[in-house]
Amino acid sequence: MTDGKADFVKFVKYFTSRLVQTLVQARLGEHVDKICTAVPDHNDWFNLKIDEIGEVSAYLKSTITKFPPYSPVVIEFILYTADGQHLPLEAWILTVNSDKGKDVNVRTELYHQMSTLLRSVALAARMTPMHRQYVKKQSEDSFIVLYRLYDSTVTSNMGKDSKKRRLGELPTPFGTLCLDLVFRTSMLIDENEENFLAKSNSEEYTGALIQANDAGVPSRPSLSDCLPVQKEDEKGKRFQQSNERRNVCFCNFSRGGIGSRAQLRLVFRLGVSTSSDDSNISEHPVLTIDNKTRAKLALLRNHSFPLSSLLQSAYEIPKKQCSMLALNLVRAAEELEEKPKDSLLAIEDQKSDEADDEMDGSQDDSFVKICGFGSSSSLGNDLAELIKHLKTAPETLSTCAHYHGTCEDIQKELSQFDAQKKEFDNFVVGVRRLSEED
Amino acid sequence: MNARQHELRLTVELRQVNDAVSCIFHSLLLHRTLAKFQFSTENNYTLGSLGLKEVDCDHIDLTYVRVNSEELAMRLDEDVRQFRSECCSVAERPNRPRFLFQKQRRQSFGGWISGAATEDSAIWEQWKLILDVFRVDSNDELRRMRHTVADSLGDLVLSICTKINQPLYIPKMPSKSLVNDVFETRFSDCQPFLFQIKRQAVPTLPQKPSFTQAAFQRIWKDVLS
Repeated sequence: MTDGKADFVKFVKYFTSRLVQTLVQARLGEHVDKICTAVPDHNDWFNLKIDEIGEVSAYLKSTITKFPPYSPVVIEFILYTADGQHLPLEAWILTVNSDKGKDVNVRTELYHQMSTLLRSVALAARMTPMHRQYVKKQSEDSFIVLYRLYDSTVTSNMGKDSKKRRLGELPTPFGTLCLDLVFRTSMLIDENEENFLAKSNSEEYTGALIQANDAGVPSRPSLSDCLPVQKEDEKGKRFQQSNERRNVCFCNFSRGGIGSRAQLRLVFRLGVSTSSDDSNISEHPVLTIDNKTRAKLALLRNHSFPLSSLLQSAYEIPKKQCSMLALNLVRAAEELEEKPKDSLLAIEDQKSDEADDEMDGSQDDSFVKICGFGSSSSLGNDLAELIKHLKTAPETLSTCAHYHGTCEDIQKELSQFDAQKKEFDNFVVGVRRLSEED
Repeated sequence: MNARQHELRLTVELRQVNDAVSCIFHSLLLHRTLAKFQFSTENNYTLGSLGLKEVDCDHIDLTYVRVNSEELAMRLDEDVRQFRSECCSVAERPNRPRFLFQKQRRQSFGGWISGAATEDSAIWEQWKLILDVFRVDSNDELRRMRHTVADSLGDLVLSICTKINQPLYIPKMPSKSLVNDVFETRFSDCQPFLFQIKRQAVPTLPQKPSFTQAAFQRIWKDVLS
């Protein structure tokens, strides 16, 4: 690989990362306010200050194995209502096509163009109908915004009035970098409209991400792989809420599956937004969950693992290994338990200290570092207590150490027990007789 | 050198002029601003980082991002304020409820080729914003305008992004001694390309007569003749 090509591949990879971060953060509903700095900072790719959210990085890392130019990347945003309906709203497609463009200096000219394109993304992300109508009105009682990443140019159906715009087209000697935006303009779905989420290439080829439900029928692909775009005023609740959302998603889909397709495809009527001043949240669908389900959800919420999706996606460890890992890291978990919840959120704003190492590509380029699994104080009292007991449990229990029972011993014990039982029954009968005589 | 010319058209209510013009100008400058340069030698430099700031419009249901530089924002606000006051003065005149205003924004690069270059020869990109401004009295109408203008303004900004991210000419990075000929260096935290903002009032376009009016005109002509 020539130096120019290597630089190109590297820049596109980091552009993808910053693109995803920029888009997801634009959907948080929080105001961005980053100061300009005159001093160069190696952590700031494309000369732009962008926070790196650990959960997003981990999700990207686990989901996308091949970045452009080798494979397209799509980030799709989906509206998910409290009663289980979903509506794909927009998709951003990053591709490198094979058209050879003009000879540009990758390190200077193309880098600058990519920086400009990234600023366009930050701006354009706030100009779509989705941002204007839904992002700032997210609520657990009405709807939230989910996002998903996949490696296919086929996007979900955005309705008949969808619009498509090519936001950027940067020709290079190694192909033309293209960024397309497809977004929904009509927020109403009729019953005849196909509303399935698009599959990624990896799903089509391996089926790894398509889970079968209890009936053995493949369920709707990939919504369970979506992550919520959190929007909470209290930062401390962010990740906890994120898992709560996921639980809601899973509850709906384990119950629904493809069998309840008709139910899920009922007419979606969020309508056109009113102004921010006179917005009336009651117009939106309201969570229709009975108290029993609500209590179950609360239980799930309290016992959910903040950052579990981060951990799972960052390290694709089978569940059995996860539990072993949890037991091995109890000490770290206990240490972290004493810290306030907010300390865990420091990971959100943590920046990579080794940007140069990231550029190698051979090393682990994520700044996300694993801290003991189940290390949160919100792990749930029962589970935390269980882990403590397991940790402090002696290797052999002294009360049971002398007992070496066999089948014969058990038979003897049982016959002895029967004899004593008869003796006791006779005693009870005698007592009753005496009481009746009195 | 021929400057690239782009034309943007938008219809707004008078109270939305500030928001609309600020949104478009800041969007343009967001793409045409670099972080502050630090020259180590004549030809070697490093760049800082640009920070972004999200701004909510007051009278349009829209949020945009701009370069987080108060100095640059103040520089733009000055022009936007003057522009709005001119709009108001025209709008208050009787019998002129509807008018067109034309506003030119020029990004010029005076003398980046040579210090003696004239202004016109140095302009390499020009954005012309034509606003159709009118006034509504009803609050319901104004509320509706918040949404409709947000839609059209959003489309306009997306089209700006599309136009800008093309393989187009952009001045090359200058050496230390020529940086003032290409960039506006008076701001402490960012460095936009040299730019100018010009305002120009446009008279109301003559309206095409309707079919009925044309018929009456013809009848009067026939009668008079």
